[in-house]
Amino acid sequence: MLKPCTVSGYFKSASQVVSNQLNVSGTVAVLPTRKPVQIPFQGNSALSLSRALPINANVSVSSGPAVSTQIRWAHTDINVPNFDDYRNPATKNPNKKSTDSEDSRKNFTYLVAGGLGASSAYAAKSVITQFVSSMSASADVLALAKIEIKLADIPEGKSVTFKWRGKPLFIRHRTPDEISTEQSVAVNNLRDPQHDNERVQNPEWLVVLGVCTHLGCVPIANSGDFGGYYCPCHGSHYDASGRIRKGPAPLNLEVPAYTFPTDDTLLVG
Amino acid sequence: MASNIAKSTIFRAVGTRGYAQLAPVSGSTNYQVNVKTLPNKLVVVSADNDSPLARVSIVFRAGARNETSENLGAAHVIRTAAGLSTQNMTQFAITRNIQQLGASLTATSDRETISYTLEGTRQAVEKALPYLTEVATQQVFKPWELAELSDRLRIDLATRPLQLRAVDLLHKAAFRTGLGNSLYAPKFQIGKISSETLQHYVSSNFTSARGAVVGLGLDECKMDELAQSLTLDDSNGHVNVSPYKGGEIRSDKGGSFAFMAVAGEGASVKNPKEAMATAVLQRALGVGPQIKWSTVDNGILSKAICSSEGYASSAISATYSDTGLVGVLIAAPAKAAGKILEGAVKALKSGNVTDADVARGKNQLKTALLLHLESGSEAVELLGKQAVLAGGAMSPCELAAAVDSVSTADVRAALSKAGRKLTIASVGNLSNVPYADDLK
Repeated sequence: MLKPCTVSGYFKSASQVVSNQLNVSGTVAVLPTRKPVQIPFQGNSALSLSRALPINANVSVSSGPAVSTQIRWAHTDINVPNFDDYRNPATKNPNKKSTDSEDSRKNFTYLVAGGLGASSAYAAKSVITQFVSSMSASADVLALAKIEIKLADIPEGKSVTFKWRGKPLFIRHRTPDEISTEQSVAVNNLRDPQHDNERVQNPEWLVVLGVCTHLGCVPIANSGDFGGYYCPCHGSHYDASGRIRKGPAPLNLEVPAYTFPTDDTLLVG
Repeated sequence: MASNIAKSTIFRAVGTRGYAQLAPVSGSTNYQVNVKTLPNKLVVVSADNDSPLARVSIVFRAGARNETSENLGAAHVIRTAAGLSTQNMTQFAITRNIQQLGASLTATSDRETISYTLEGTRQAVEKALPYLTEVATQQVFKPWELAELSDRLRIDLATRPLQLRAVDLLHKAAFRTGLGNSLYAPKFQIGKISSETLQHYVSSNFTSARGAVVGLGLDECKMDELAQSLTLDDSNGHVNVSPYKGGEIRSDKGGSFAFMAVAGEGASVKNPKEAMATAVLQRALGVGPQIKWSTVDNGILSKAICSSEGYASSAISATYSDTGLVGVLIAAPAKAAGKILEGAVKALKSGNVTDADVARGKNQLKTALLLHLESGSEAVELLGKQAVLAGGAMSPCELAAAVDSVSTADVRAALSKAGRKLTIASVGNLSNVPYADDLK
């Protein structure tokens, strides 16, 4: 309300230096918070000034959908991505050329890569070996797979039969006569041409499997037309080198792998 | 049908390549302008300048001068609201489809008109026409979308340059209401202009009798089709009469520069001869250096001001449907502002226009107009204003001939009319700017 007694107050203005409860100012105002926008005038030469002046007083203003008004705010609180923690210390110094330390950095990288590669290859090899060896035969099976024979127990001219891997095994202590006979057989005439030397390591000892190559019967030792082995099933005659000489069998008796660990022992398998 | 085939792009290319000199990218410089008025009084203007870019504009006499004290700022809101959801399309659909086609849609408003302009390649424009008609004629102003516009209006206000405010204040002082309304909504109106207010403004001003459709680079029959497809009321609407009154407004804003606009009454569109004379007068007064990088302006103004300070002056003019303004806008360092303003006022009040001034003014005006009509975007704006204010449009040749017909006596008459009563508006550091009644 504008009262006559207050009118004079509108022609002066006073500000209170120290506030108290007695003299409270009349109106309460809420100061708006404003975001300052500065549009500095850019003209500082006569030419740029004159270009900034519109010629047409009938000014028109345009706007449109999407991006017609673009406001860019500059931010100072955005962290610039920093990868220093992950960078090689040799390349962090901006005053040094990174090419200077290139060789040492490369050597280190190659060394680490090479070392890791070699050790991982070795680890991989041992793992694979372990798995693959689990598939092979166990020790008890392997023990059964070999047979050791004392040769002194076998007299000359005698063929002894052993059981080896479920099959009969013939060990024959050949006489010098038999050896010379078998050595002189003409290989060309044989059905399965093999010289005696190919079938024995020590000419005194013939080691063959006692399985007829015809249908798998067990031949009889020291019989037949050639003084070697004779298969009673279908009449196959083998000589003292275990070679097929007569009858239906197509091949010589099979020679297993064997060694002589000492002079008087034989190891088959 | 046969004529349509000949107009398709490939035949046009063959025609221009094979039988004529190749048209430049901006199109040919001299083209036929066809004007037609539909039974509902909508003006249709079509022209083809053989440019690969086409422009279509829908213009209404709905600028800021039509605002009243109740809906002050409506034109600003409507301009900014271009592209918001309409009756049949969402904001997203409009933006997405226009961007997908590579076209651009802008709403431009001045004191007399609001125009919606679609620009793009010919194919894109033809496809985007439905969006243009939706945005220009089917506004709904959803309240929740309007609420989001407030910030944009505030930014528009905050980013007005001072020279623009000087021109705004000049209008305010010269016309008070009507043409005195600003192009921008006043701060107290932001957020207070409701959807209903805008709807009422649109329905009373966006009518066929107050509108025009302008096409540059589109078929005449396509333009007819577009114009006839617009669903518009055909009422005349109300015209805010605002005669020239004159006065003074000062707005002290500090800073190092003073922006001063001084103007007297100019010519209206209804009197084309006087309007042309006023336009020549503006150029004779001098609109800044015309030679690249030069700082010398041989106009009447710079001779009258005769100052060595780093200032700039430019004659300004505006032509409205019932009146106009012609004068000068000055940017001057605060210290020297007083002397410079005195010189400019002297030139306006008792300047002498010689034949040489008029000849130079005519040449400059012709160059400016022809360059305007070569540039598609400015041409479509110029054609649109002519169509909606004068009901017709002139081709480049006709305009040049009209400029040639101006005599020195006409220009002198225009200057003496302007000098009769001056309006002064000033913004910036006004410490040395004299008041209107101190200027002799």
